[in-house]
Amino acid sequence: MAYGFKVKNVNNEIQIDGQYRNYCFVEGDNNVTITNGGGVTNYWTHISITPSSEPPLILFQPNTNAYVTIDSYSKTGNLYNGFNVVTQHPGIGVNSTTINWKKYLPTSEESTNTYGLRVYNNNNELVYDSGKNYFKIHAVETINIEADDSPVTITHSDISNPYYILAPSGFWVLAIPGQAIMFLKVGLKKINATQVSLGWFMFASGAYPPWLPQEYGGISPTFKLIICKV
Amino acid sequence: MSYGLKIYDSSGNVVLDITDKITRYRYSTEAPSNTNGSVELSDISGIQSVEFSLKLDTTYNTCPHLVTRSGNTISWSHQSGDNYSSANSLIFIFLYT
Repeated sequence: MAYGFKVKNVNNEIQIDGQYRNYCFVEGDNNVTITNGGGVTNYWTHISITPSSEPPLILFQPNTNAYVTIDSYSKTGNLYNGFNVVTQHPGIGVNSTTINWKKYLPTSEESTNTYGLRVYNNNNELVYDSGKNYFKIHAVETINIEADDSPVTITHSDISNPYYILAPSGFWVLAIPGQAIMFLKVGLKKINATQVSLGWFMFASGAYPPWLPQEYGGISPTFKLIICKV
Repeated sequence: MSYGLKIYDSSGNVVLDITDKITRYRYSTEAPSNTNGSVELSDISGIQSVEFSLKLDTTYNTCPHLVTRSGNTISWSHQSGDNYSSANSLIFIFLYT
């Protein structure tokens, strides 16, 4: 940027840059129950959010009893109005858990503080407001895990009880010919304040269809676990 | 404090410390299913970014786009195969150093 305002921390990393907007906390909830109905049309729990035309960013904390992930966002017209959370299939034994979640948006609404620091960009959009809680990435882990691998433990000893973003969602089919077909995703399960488990879990099942072209298959991309300071 | 900006709230709590990192929002777009795309962002040179995608539908066997960075170019490609198909995706790019 040729002019403006920029602040760096002691590690020479940018904190505030008048060129960019930042996402800040706007809403959230704790101990929200997530259940799985077991079928391909009722495996997720929908959580409504205040509609916005800007794309929201949802961070979550899993619980210790089951794998869970934010599978998708929902939208009606031009407005993002919710997200869908998936936990384990009833056949695994535990098909209910709870999460805490927080939603962030690049809102231009000023805080109510009458003191502090506010920075705007050259479009007069709010870039930084010291009265707001901003989205902060603490670390990003990349994980490769195949569907038949054991879960991976991620340790973040320098931060306790962070929130997470896990992306993208994987998908895997595991079929027993003539019997059943199982669908798997990757999710997170809390171990303790500084450790989380990332693993594949069954989220839906059905009868074995005669058209199934192969017994095993799907996509297991490199997953990104974004560890966030809140 | 060696140097930097430190901001306190009215109770004396630090709301911005000299070691904090605030993540900057750089780019987002919606990628329709079965399409690929890319964007070149010359200003991200030398800055660490995280780029990722999220699904915009609940169909059980759809997958979001894969997002990668090469130099200053962010690319996204749809994913489809024998047992799964491409979803509409929301692509995000954030800068964090």
